[in-house]
Amino acid sequence: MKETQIYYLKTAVLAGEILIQSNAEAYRVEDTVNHILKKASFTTSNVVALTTGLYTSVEVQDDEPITLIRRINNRSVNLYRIASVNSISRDITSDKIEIKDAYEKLLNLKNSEYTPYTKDIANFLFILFIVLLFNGSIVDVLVNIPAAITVTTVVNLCNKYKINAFVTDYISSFLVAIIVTTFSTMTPLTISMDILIIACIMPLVPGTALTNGVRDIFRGDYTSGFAKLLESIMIAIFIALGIGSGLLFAQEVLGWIF
Amino acid sequence: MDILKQTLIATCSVFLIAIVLDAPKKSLPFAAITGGIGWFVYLMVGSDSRVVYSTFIAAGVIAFLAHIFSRGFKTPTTVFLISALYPFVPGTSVYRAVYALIGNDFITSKSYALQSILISGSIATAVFMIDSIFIIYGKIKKYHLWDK
Repeated sequence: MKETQIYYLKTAVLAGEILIQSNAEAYRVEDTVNHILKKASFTTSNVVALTTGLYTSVEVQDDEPITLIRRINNRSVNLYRIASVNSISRDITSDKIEIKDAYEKLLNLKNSEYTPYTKDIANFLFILFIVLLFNGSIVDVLVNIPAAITVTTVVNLCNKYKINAFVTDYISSFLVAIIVTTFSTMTPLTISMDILIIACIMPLVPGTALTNGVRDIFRGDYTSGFAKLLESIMIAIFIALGIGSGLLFAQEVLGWIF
Repeated sequence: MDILKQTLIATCSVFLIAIVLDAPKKSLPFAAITGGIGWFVYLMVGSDSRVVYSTFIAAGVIAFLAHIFSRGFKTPTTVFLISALYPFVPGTSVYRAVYALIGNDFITSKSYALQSILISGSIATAVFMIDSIFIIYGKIKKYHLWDK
């Protein structure tokens, strides 16, 4: 096997790995890897992308076949990385870039265009805007500020220490339910409690996993599609558990105090 | 006037969630426009009584715009699609189902749980339909059926 061919293989596998880690759809991963491998003129090349791993195998005539497997444990949505890998693979297929440069580019791909601070503020403001979007009043928006800060902080901390998404969702929805219930019983203001809680859980709700999972299933990638659907159902169940236990806890404790 | 205000709010919130999801900077305004138009359509179709129906139409419009923008900017469809669909995700029905469950109201809880499944199903079906239309269009273009 020639050296350039090995470079193509390495680049293709790295691109696929980044895409799966950023929660891209399975067909996009397989498409990208196949497009890059096609440039290297292997005799056969096969790619299987699952939600939890990437399997690539190539053969050259009169030579030993090579198989590369990558196990992928941590996934989080990162549209910037998906878009960058997409444009790099476009450049490779149209010969705009040397394969070695492309490999270096993929290795040094930035994690995000924004600082974590910007993302936290955006998350916080998103929750407040959702209150308005669901016909909440200005009072609701103001009252929701502590709960929104709580969600943002919990999400930020759990991302920092790489804590499981289920735990993050459970803790934040539990705290939100307690905070909002306390506010609505302790203060004389008229607050629409349901809008506040719904707004706080909106950034946690599994929109990406659901959309991508169903798109995968309709394209025939049943394994990765059902894995993503299961993920979205699990997240929804954990959010529901968090809200449920939080509401019960707050009601019991507040009823006991007053 | 109320609809315009709501559309503006939806545009802002999609812009913000796109930042949270790390969308590339140059695609942010277009993701926001996609979301705003989607919410406008959702309100025009009627949001209260026929949530599933209006979500279906709005998700279809969003998927169509996402495909157009992704072709124009050579960026994956997902970038526009996922951010713009975020306000439609059935958080409300999930919350109401849990709330009814705590109050021992199983019938209401079941109907809200069913509603959340239907809403997510309608988003998925709408996205799939538009996807297939663009796939078929691509295949026809590839085999030069237009020229003959």
